[in-house]
Amino acid sequence: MMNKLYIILLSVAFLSCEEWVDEPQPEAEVGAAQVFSSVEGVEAFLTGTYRTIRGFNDELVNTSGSNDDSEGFGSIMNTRTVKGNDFMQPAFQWMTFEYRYLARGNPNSRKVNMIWNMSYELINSMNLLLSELENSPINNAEKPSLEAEARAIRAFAYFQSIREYALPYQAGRDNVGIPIYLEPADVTSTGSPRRSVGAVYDLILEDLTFASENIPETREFAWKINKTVTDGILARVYLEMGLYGEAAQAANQARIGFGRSLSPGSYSDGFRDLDSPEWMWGMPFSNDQTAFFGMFASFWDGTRYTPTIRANPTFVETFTDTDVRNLFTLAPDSLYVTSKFIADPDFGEDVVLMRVAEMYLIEAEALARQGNDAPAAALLFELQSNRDPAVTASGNTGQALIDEIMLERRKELYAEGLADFPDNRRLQQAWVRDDNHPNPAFRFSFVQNDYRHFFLIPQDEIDANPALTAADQNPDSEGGTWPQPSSGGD
Amino acid sequence: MPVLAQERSVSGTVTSQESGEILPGVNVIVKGTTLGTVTDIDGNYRLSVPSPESVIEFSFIGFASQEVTVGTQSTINITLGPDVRALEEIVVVAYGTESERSLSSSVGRVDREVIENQQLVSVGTALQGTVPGVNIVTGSGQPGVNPQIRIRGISSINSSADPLIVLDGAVYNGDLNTVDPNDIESISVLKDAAAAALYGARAASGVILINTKIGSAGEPIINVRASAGVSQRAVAEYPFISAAQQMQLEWETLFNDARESGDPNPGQFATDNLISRVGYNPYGGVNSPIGPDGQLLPGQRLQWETDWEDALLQQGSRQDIALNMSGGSEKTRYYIGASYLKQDGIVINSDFERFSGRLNLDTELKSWLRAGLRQSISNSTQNFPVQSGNSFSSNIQYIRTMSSIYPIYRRDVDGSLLLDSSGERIFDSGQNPGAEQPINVSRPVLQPSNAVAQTTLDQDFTERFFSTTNAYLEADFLKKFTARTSFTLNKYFFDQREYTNPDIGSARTVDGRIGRDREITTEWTLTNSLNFTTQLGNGDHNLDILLLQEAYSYRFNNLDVTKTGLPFGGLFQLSSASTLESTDGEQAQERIGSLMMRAEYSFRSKYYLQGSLRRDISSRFAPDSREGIFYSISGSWVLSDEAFISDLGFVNFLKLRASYGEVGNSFIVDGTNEAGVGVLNGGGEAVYFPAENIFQTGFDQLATAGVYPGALRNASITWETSAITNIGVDFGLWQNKLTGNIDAYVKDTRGLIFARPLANSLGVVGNEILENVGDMQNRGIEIALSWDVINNSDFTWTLGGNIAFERNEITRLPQEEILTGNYRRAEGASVYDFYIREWAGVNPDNGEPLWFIDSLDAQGNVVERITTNNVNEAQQNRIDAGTALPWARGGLNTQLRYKGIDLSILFNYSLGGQILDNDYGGLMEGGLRPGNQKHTDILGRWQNPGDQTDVQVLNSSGQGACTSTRFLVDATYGRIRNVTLGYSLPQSVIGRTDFLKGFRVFVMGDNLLTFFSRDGLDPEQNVNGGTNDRSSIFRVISGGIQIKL
Repeated sequence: MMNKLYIILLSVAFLSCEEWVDEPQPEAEVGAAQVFSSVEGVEAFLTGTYRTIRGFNDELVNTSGSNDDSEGFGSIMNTRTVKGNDFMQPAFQWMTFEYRYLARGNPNSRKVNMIWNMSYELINSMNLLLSELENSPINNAEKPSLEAEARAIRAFAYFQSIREYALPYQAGRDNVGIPIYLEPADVTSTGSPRRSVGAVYDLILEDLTFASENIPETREFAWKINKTVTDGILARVYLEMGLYGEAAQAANQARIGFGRSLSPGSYSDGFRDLDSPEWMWGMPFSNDQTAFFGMFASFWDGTRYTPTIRANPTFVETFTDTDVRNLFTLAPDSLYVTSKFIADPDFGEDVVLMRVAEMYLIEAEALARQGNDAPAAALLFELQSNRDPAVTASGNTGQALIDEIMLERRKELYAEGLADFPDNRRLQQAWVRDDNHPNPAFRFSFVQNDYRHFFLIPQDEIDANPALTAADQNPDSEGGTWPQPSSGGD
Repeated sequence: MPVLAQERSVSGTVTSQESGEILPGVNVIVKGTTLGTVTDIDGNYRLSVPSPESVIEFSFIGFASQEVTVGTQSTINITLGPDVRALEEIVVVAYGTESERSLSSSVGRVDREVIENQQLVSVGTALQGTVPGVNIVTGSGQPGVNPQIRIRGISSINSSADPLIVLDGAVYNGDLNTVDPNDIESISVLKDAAAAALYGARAASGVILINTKIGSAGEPIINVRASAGVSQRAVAEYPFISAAQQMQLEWETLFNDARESGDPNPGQFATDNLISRVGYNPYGGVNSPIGPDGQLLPGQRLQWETDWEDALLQQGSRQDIALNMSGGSEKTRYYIGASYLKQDGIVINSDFERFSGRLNLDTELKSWLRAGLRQSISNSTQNFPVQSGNSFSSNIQYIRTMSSIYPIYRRDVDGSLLLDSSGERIFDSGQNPGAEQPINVSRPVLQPSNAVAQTTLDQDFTERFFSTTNAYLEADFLKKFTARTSFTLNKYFFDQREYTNPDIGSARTVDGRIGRDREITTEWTLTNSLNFTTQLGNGDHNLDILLLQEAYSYRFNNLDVTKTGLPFGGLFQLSSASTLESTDGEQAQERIGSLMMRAEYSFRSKYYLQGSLRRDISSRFAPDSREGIFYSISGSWVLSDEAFISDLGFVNFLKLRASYGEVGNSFIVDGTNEAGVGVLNGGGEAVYFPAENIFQTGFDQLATAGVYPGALRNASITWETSAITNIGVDFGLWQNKLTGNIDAYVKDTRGLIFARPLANSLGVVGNEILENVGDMQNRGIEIALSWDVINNSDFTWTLGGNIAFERNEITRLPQEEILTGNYRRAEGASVYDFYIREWAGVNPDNGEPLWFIDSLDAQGNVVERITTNNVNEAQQNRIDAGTALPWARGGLNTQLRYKGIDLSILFNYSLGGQILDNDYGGLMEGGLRPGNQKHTDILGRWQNPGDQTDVQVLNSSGQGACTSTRFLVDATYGRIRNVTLGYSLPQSVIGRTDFLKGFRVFVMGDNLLTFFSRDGLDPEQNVNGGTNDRSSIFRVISGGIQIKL
């Protein structure tokens, strides 16, 4: 009797076992099929991607942590700033490894890995989106605008890393660039070799051109890329490439498309509001969506970390007293602090990615470099007089005008990671850090295309990528040679 | 009948030889007849015997039987001695028990006495040095932190290498520290496949069976045990330089910076910039206390010199009180336990407190029906300030980062204490915006923070409640069958409150932060079994077949809320905070369905054969790859029962064992499992769905919801399988004075789950993919010996020792090598082979650190090793620097008893292996980080051309402290784990009372002495040989009493 009962019990248990084990499913996550079955799903993926641009690394939710110098795109902006002459972090504080050019020469450093990893994670994500979008049941008419936005982000990502890990475009198309991927990684993926600088820029241009033609002008939030922002990125890329006709045209298109004019009042707001009139593109933060001490402004404002990044007196002296951008005060160490960026006590300040003033400057520079001095000077003066009503036009032409525009870029875009060091690198200039840098150990003198302008390739990449060996590493000494690009097909 | 005439009555009392207690329930039988009785509750019996030649046999479980010829006696009082046939002991094994004699697999045991003699918080620690082949790494001075436990090497990399814990027969995923060591009867460690195969897919890293106590028939026994003592860190901190030396070296760093840059007057530069470099002046005033000649200026006096270690660490106390009662009748047995434990940690404000209670009950309802219950609840609270890792408030890191030139409390320009409006000192966070002082306000080290303030003001408070209920019903039927149903429900509540004060530290700008994390874990196991036992051929053949069906379910839920904005400090509840910062909630589930079979056959208790088979299906894997079949076969031969051995005379027991089997591992974790310590938090995050590509939610842009890809998954991922071959011998020689066992094993893990690094440029989240990519082998020899040196009624002395030789080797990889962090995985290497720069010392000409690199000829062949000062070049020329893993480890122990005095000593040791002491490296960095704490070894730095030293020049860009062979230390160590000295009142004294059955006083010391080559570092760091600014384990010295009623 008991025997039979047990046999029955056992059989019942086994019959239902398979289904019972099937039941648990992931609950805080969603499957790929759900994401790619609707426009809303793909939009949510794009939203998550913008979140990654601003918050890469912040999933660690470090309220007080050890990688505050490597969180999100804001940390890349600060890195580009402290590598120059106008700003410095000589004290032992976040960003000093970048300032001292130590981060670049350590293939295991946070920053070497962070810029590379972030770029390629964005690239792979957009490759995944593009590949799945093709087979998605979404109405074909709705696909091009989604594709355009994804390709704009992909181009943005390639454009970040190509400049940090390879010689500038104007040094030659055939120099070694970075690996190219157009398909999402799967379980069989290994790794691609370094392709030429030219091949990478061709891809960037192709993506941005498609995006510019297919992305809508309208957008719901200022953190999204629309046609204006696409044209703005395009203008930056053309300028980097030295294609000044195209640069001027793209910058003009972006400036006109944006529609809002210069607004000097925004300098008194602390550069922390996404809806600021001059902001073409930015990153939103809030008290519950923040990188805390890793926020961009943490290194400027003085309420989170001191000493803040300092301004060079030589640079500060270029501002007139009546210039709205002259937000400098003298610190006890005889260097200057700026109040351009103000941090919110609750860590919720927004961060700027693109302002219309930059479009004025790109257009002006591109025109001047083509010899169109008059319209260039007019644009320059429009900006200058907006910032300082007391200013008078310089009347410069030729190289003097170009120099004036380059100085204006430093003054207008300072600490946004766009001028000074990035311009020197782009234009292959030799340059020096002056004696205002307190420690002589960091008063570097850079030759043209100095090896120190560029980060090393992450050691992890070389270790894990079968297409790369130690010979594919960037040079790490003066006179060191650059590796050769692979010519393999995409 | 004459028989009647000769029949006589015999009576008497039976007592225990050891304790003098009366023994009820002793079987008293006239040998060769059916006549017999049992002793009554007072140990008395009365029996009629047929003749003076009759032999009476007295037998009782746990005691050696005695036979007495009646003769003319009418009163026969008997004292029974303990059963000395040690090898006949019962061993708890998978789904049952076995006699040690019949065991054909490798099972290690820890008995009650060993557990009682140590001052455990987490029972895992009891295995250290006591079971060969079990490696314990505690790695923390926080009481209640569970140790890393590794059985027979490291069986996995990206699956958990933690053993499966089975408590009273059911899988236990709770925190080991919730189990009260006082309740434990025995711990069995199942080491080979034959022992563990019945746990199938979760057994590859070994199984630890914990069984709790149950009473026995007879008078109730009441035990009270109380002890109290003091605790402190077992290993002293690294020696640090003084504040005066620190300032000198900071000056020297600047001097070298300027000199290297060609400054004509480097001394002046150093003097001018000293205070701005470090931000503070412990000598007071805004001017450098050190002149351009490098000498301290006259009249300089230190205003403060902070001893951060003293400020952040404590000497604590320990109290432990346990009360338990056990007893029973013929049909019902019980055990009731209750205990209280409080133990302070070595970091200020760290402690652990636990209340626990247990009821165990077994009862016979009918002659064929039994039921039982194992019920335990435990509530523990823990204050757990951060004490490892690199968070700013991590106390140990703090001591090793912040030099003594920085004050705990705010100082003015002259170095005098600043006071607030109420006259109180003000904590200095190293970042004081708004302060009008030019100096002593901004610190280049760990800003903004003050560990003293944060450890005092902040709270990290955890409360755990654990309940485990196991009930079973067992029925015999058709004589040879037993059916059993057992259900276990474990419920585990975890409630953590993290409070960050609004005044100083990371939550200052948001007016304080309160985090609350609640986790509820529900785990149940339903086991149905059917057992068939028969004897054939006059009892020569014994057959035992067990069929089992089991369902296991695990569900984890959590809710995590953070709020900011407190009106003032000292409010610890969410309601007091104004602004919601984050809310998260998750659920994870796992289910496993299993079918098992085991058959055991023995012939004349001499030859044993056993086989088992288990099929598991797990919800972790895709339907196509989720079935796992695991099996084992084993056999043993009791050689000592063969004439050719027993004739030797000195061999009392000799058994050969052999087994082979396959077990699995499905506990897949993200990241490496060596990241942390503990069973539950084995490091990394459990991956419940390793086969599915998913998108993570929560990647929002303000109110717009976003998703983003998670890690790349391989859909065909499945179990790791470990095939284990074990041969062993158990023996007892010279009247069992020398007993021991020797085991040799080879454990091949196939389909090793490994996070294969992907090229970062593939852009996969985490840059890796979990796959079954490799094979690994652990092999070893384990020897355990015990020698009864002296054994008489007044004096006993036992010596024991064990050693386990281990070798870990990767036997197959899909690619030539996998480099991760400081390790290189390659065929033939161990899982933790260091692959780091090779230190070449210091250049005597300029003091630069040097590393070796290859010098190549035109064909690319290595011609010789040359040196470089370039960190990156050195990185490209890393070398195999040997393994982190020891080649042997084990323990030594001795027990002495002379009359009432007992003494036991337990020592454990580990031989070979290496630790990469980057904690020390940080202290030897030199000038890179101003104000950083420094080891006294830095005083031997290079200063002038020609200096021969191994410590590099101090300058602001030097990277001499980067990871290299410079910081490897031999991991060999020995530790006196425990010494216990006790005195028990003799029976003659106790016998005068009518209530006392035993009384013992004792003192014990844990971790009294550590022998290790690196001062300042606790040798128990991590299985992987890495350091992480961990707190040292603690030394506890206690005294106590034990009363038996």
